[in-house]
Amino acid sequence: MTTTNIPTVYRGVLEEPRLLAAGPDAHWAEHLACFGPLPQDSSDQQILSEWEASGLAGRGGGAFPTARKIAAVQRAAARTRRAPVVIGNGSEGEPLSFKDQLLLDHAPHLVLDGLLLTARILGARESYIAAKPGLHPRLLDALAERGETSVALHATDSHFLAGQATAVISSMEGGPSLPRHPSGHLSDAGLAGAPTLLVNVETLAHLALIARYSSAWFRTAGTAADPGSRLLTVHDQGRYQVHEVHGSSDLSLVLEQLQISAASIQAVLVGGYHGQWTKDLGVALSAANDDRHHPAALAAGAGVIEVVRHDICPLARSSQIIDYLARSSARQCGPCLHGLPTLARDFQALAQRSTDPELPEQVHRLGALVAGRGSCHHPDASARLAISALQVFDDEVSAHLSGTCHHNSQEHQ
Amino acid sequence: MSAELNINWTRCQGRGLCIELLAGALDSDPWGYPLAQDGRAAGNGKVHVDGDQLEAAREAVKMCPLAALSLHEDVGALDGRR
Repeated sequence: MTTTNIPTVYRGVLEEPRLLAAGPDAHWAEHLACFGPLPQDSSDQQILSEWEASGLAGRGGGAFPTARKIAAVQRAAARTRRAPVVIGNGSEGEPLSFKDQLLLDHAPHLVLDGLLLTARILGARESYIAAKPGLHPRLLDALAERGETSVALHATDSHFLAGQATAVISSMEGGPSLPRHPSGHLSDAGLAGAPTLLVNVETLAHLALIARYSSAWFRTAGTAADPGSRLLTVHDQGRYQVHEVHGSSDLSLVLEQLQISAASIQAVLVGGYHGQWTKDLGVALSAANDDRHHPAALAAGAGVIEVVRHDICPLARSSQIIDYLARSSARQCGPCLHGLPTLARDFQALAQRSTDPELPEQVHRLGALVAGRGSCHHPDASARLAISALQVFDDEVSAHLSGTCHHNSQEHQ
Repeated sequence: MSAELNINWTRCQGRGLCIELLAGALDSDPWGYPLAQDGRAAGNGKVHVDGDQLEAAREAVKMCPLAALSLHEDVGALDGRR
């Protein structure tokens, strides 16, 4: 295991972009000039070893080790003698995330490289990119540029849960684009029962880079536990930008590099709508939560942070998000269908300075009641966001319960 | 001998038969859906069922009007697989 970690204080925005190294709006010529052609198929075994040694974890939010997913599909294909299917998921249901869109717009060839390489190595008969229809013209253009006819595009819906793995599969099979009750792994039986590799499009782009430059190169960014880089969508004052940052970047350094002064920041939402709040800017933006070490690590999820400045009431903002999450329920599972709207109503009452002292306890109770009682993680993650808001903004909660607000901006939007 | 009762939440409509049949393991939540009693939740909607409740659990699986239940018996023989 390598221990040559970059000191925390230097882990922020990448010095040289990796995923966007070919420049904005990179077409086939720029892509080839920057990265060169795909490695020969004689090196496929070597590429698999490099992928495994890289420690790359999925960039769609789940952070599952990508090499393990690939190996599971290989095993299932050998066992069932069925040709596997490879799907690049660029559906990006998280409303605050724009990094997959940026990648597909500006570096579609790197994503296609990763898709074609995994398809080649796995012996896949079909490969797909699932993305919102607005991105298809750019992808079709990229496929035409390289004369590639083996990749099909699938149009995903734009609602919050449409990007979940089983929702993508269901939609590709002609069903509703809603999560399914888990019945085993997609690697064993995914699209039409075939062993299926479904990975985020940014993950594919990293695979394409590791295949060319090695796992050792990949690990020169990030940490031993969170190697490589990730795209991060940063929201502040109603605008967003996307940056490529080191794995386990120091949140305060990223904010400083983006010239968002710490003094102006009240709190940061890390990990998007399924994420959590922090007032402590000394945390690391990581693949997974870890509070056993210092600095504590918060999961960046699909790579999203939202800055909340001092003029905004964080309970009002949380209430907006929880309301959105409640409305985004797939309405398939009772506890989520009934529990989240109740939770959202109680949280809204709190945000609107209702003085009912039972409200925080009710939110906690409803959170515990819906968590773990659905076919996908939506109720769990939504409850976690609500409870994170109560914990991080406990002063604001007390103020609201006594009918006052530190921020006086209940009507912000 | 124990087992895990798996609730397919996308199928369950809260008819409540399982709650009656498995009164020792399930309660009703405020909306009528089965809720694992304290200490029985086994993650992802699974409910731990003791040996003396097995027969009732099998009955609940058979009787569920939405076919939302399945029973995973002999849990002890499995390793800690997800």
